[in-house]
Amino acid sequence: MLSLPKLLMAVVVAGLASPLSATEIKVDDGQHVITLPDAPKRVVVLEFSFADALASVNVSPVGVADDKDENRLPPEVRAIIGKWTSVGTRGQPSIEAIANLKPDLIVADLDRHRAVYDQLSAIAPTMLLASRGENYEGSLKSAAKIAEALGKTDEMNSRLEKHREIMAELASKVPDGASMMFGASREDSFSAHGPESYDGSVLLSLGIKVPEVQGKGKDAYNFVSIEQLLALNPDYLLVGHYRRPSIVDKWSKEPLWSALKASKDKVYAVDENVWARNRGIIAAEKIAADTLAILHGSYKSVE
Amino acid sequence: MHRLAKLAPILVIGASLFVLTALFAVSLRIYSPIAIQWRDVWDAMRPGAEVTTIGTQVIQLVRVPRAIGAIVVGAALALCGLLMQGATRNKLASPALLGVTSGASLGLALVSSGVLGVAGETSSGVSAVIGGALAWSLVFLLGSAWSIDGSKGRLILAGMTMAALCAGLTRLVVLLAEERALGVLNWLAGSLANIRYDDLPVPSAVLLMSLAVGALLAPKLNLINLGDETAQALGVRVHFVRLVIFFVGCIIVGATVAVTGPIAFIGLMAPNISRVLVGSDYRLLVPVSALLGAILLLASDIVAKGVAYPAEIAAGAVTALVGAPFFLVLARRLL
Repeated sequence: MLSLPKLLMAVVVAGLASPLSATEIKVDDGQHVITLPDAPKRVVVLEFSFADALASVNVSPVGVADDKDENRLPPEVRAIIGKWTSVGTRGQPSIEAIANLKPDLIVADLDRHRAVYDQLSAIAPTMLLASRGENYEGSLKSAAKIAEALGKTDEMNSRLEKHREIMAELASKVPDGASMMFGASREDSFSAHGPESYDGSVLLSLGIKVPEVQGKGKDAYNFVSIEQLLALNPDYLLVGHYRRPSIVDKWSKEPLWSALKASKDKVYAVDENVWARNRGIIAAEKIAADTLAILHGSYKSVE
Repeated sequence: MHRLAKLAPILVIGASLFVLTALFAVSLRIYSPIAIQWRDVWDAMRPGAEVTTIGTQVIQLVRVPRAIGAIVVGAALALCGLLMQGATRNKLASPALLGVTSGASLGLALVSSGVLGVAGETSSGVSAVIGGALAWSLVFLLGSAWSIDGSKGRLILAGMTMAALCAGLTRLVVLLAEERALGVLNWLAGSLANIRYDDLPVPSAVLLMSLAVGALLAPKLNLINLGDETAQALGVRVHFVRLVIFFVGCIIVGATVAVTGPIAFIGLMAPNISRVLVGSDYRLLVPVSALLGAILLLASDIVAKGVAYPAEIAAGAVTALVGAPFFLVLARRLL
């Protein structure tokens, strides 16, 4: 039986000991609170935007779900994070490959990977953050959360501040009144990105108008026919050709195409990795730079 | 009374033609994100008219080929279902329920996803025909349908098993070719949105051929309806008729699937509604089923445009929503 003073002492010692032994990090990803014993060293990310967030605070992931194609990450991100191990596609990452890397933090997509959360969190503490279908501001919030888990909140804050300055600087050069829309073009479908999509909300933040892609509520994307595209009729049409010949290649040969305002010389093929897939801080800056070049007529369409 | 009964088919055909024409006009006019007026429809359709507004351009270049596509594909699928029902003496037979549509989809998905390493416009149509033919052959073997008078449920069961198998394999193809998955999935829903004039000649030729085959085979199907032995005794080469229907059916399904993706239940609904309207004489069922198939698909496409307007859903989703309960009711009565 301990005496009261001894017991009190024990409580005080225990209370003092825990903050001294390690810098424990607690993060709430909006779904769960995860506890990390220390700043994680081996991070696996399952979306490109999360790799972008790591790069923004100079952390290299050990594994990335890179769709088995490292070129899908922008060269700027690759230059910072160096070599990583592919853990498969974003849609179906390999649980085994992730486990092999013995990560101490996994960053997964709220939409894509919710169903495998239990499997992932059995391997390592797992954050579920919004990337797919998320807009610009939401993606920045996800990046800030990742930095919090890495114990790099201050670094991220100064990076975000710099980012806001870069974007404001570019936005100040955007002429008034132009409307612009990006769309993903595959063999037989065209998915128009509205103001709620990632790229659409980046454009909005630059002061560019983005046609409301009509559809189910505030859906970020919607498949449109050429008739619906004519109704959206943006001044500039930016196309990510996911597969060629794409449906836009087909449409652009039809007589109806000339009824589009953009058809004169304002249809550009842009890099879908930058515009649609990455959704990160660096991607936003690249989108802004592309946009300015397009508006000033100095942009060269990608292959 | 007797005279009235003779008049009925003419009335049905007349009314169907009227409804089809009305739907055609409506499909040109409504649910467009561009404000289209009746005036534009008139301007676009009247011979020698000047096409100046964007509305008339959209009607002529997008909406007319789409509506014609719906009519052609709908009629062809209905005929396909009717011929299959005649050949098997099974009112539940139809391209989708016998697994032919799924087989054709699998064939097309294999080619268009690049999994097989061959690609191209012609090869995709051919692969759809081959896929459908293989699936149908297997269903006949499994359902032992050549000896027709076994259980009617057995054939449908074999067909639905085949459909499920092919759908599963198609999923696998989609997963293997993840890059193209979205395009293939979109196409698998069965949409008419991207039909242009270029897409029409092949299905139209197939429709004309199947109408001709239907007209030629109608008297024979009437006899087959009495039983194989009776038909044979009356001089019908039953196996030959079935073989012809097998080939024609595969070509219809392949040609339509290549243009629109799989569209289910038209081949089930149109012939069975026609039976209610004009009885079981195949000489009447051929034209009436074709007309009703056209009406059903055109109407489904209008609903598909309107239900989530201004977004669109696939017409195949609408036919499935209407067709599935129709099948259940019919199956309850027949099985």
